[in-house]
Amino acid sequence: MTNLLRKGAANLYLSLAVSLAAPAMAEDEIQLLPPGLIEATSPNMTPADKFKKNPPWKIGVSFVGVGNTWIVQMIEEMKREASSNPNIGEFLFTEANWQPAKQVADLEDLLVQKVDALIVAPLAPALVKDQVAKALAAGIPVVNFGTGGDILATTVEVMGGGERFGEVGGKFLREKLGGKGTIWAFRGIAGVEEEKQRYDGFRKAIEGSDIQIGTEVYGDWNYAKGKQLCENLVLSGQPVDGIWFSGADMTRACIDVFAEAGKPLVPMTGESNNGFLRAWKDAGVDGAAPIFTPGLGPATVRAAVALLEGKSLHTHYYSSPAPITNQNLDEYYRPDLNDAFWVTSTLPDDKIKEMFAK
Amino acid sequence: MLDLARGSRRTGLSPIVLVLPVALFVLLYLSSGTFRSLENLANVNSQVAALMIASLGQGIVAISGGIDLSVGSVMSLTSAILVTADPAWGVPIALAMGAAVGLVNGFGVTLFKVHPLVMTLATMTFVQGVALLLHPVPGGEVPGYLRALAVSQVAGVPAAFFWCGAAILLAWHLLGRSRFGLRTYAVGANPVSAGRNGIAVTRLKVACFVLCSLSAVVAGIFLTARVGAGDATMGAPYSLDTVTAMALGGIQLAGGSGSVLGIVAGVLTLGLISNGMNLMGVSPFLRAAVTGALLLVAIGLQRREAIGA
Repeated sequence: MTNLLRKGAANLYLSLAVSLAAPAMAEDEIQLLPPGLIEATSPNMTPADKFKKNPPWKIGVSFVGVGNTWIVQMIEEMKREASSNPNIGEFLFTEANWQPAKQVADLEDLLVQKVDALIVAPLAPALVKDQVAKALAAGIPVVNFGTGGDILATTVEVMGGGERFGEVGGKFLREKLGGKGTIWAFRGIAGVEEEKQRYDGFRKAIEGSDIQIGTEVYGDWNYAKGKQLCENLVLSGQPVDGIWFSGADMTRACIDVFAEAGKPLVPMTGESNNGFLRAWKDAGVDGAAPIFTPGLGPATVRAAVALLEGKSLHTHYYSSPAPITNQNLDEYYRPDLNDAFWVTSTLPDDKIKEMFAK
Repeated sequence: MLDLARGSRRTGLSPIVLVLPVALFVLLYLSSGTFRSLENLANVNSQVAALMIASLGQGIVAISGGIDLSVGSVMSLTSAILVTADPAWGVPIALAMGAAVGLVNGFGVTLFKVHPLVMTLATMTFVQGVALLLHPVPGGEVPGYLRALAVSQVAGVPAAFFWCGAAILLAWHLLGRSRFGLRTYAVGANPVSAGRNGIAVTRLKVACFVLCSLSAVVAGIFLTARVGAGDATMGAPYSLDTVTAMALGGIQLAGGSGSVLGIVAGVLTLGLISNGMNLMGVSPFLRAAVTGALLLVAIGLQRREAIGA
């Protein structure tokens, strides 16, 4: 009981810290999320007052698509952030259903509505470069909820995940397996830039070792598909010493399959989802989970607001907090919440309990 | 009382097919100042162009009594080819690929008697895999002349208008003004009877699949040029979107019925729904449900015999 209260208090503190710390630290430098959750990765700053505009503002968002609980929570956090700011008159959220043509159309529809700031989470930087260039040419600040590399020039870039996400899992498995063995790789949705970056990070982490990728499948970051694929692999009897996952809800599916098949668990990587943390704790598997916080959504809204207030921001921010491991698992797992919750959250604890009650 | 379900058996056009896009247009015109802007109307035109071209091809196959689910994958592979092949050869290679896929689909359906749904599902999966192998990460450079053809304007009229116009005229001529069209309707309505009356059913069905794949290639070229980058999954939603446009346009999926006007109406309805929901700020969680509900209403108001039952 004491332990439960301690964990509850720790998480409450974490949630409050995330929601309260940013405005409190805004005087010297804009904090999009508390230190440790996100860091500025470029010394370059946007010019002050360049995008300053009188409120009320119209902020448009073009997101890649809906379809998993991380996105649902992130959208909720974004909307809450926007609704809590009286200077935001309209908050227009569009989602592209993972379709490049739809994302281009969404951006066109947002621009025609004369938004004051644009937040774009590109399916791939190359696919939206024309619309982003058009927005910038019209003097509209663009916050990239993603990584643009050399392809997509935006005003500010806010992201997590990517190569570093994949690398965390790769390094963990390399260490656990002593640099040799056979790994199954569960990838996300084929053709999605973020997925490719995570996979590249994983490959980089095992480069030069004697670790072989025994098999590689696309589980679409989805529990049902991940489970089906894992069942096939387990039943095929292919050797496996560890499993790398591209995140989302596939690891929980595979833990369930191993348990149902009575197969001894191997080290697995996951993501900071309460369902996975529960399965991880219950099964006692050796695991590691990078944190890809839904708080990135509100961080992009804060960035857009700061630009419209005429404040200066760094041009690049990146979220790569220390991962969850067997050692600190209890600090993050919330036994009082259901499997759909993702840590860490900017939502207040009462809202979290309302949304993710068991 | 107006009978919204009554329509021509040959064209499948019932009042609801035509009323729906007009009603949506009027509703959006009256409710959103942004919708009325020329910029937005040009956007809508550009947004529906690829679906229009691909749907016209799908319509030819549907009228002949088939269905082609490989449309989207052919568009995706076209996109992958355009940004990986030599700029001078991208379009010819893509067209050759389209013709090959159409031939495989056509021969599979006619000579090997595989159901069109199964046959084109198989080619869809194969072609999608090839596209991902060829160009796994979105990006690449689209040849400049294609970009100019897709995004430029002539006297303020967007290029997409001319792409749509050319595709509609060609489809209208093929289906409504040529022997090919007459035979396609005959084969779709009753292939056995059409064969007994001297129509080369196999050859005609193969030609329909080839035309459909070629239209998917053209749609893929337009879409890739419009987006300005290649993507091996770019066409994925179009396989089902073209079928949805058929249903909204009153095309009888069992064959022998349908019209270019119906296809145009179906595509416009889908385009207006998407644009309208963006402009009206409909929640992303509601959008799919709203689209599905509208589709159900549209199909529910058509005669049962006119929707392939």
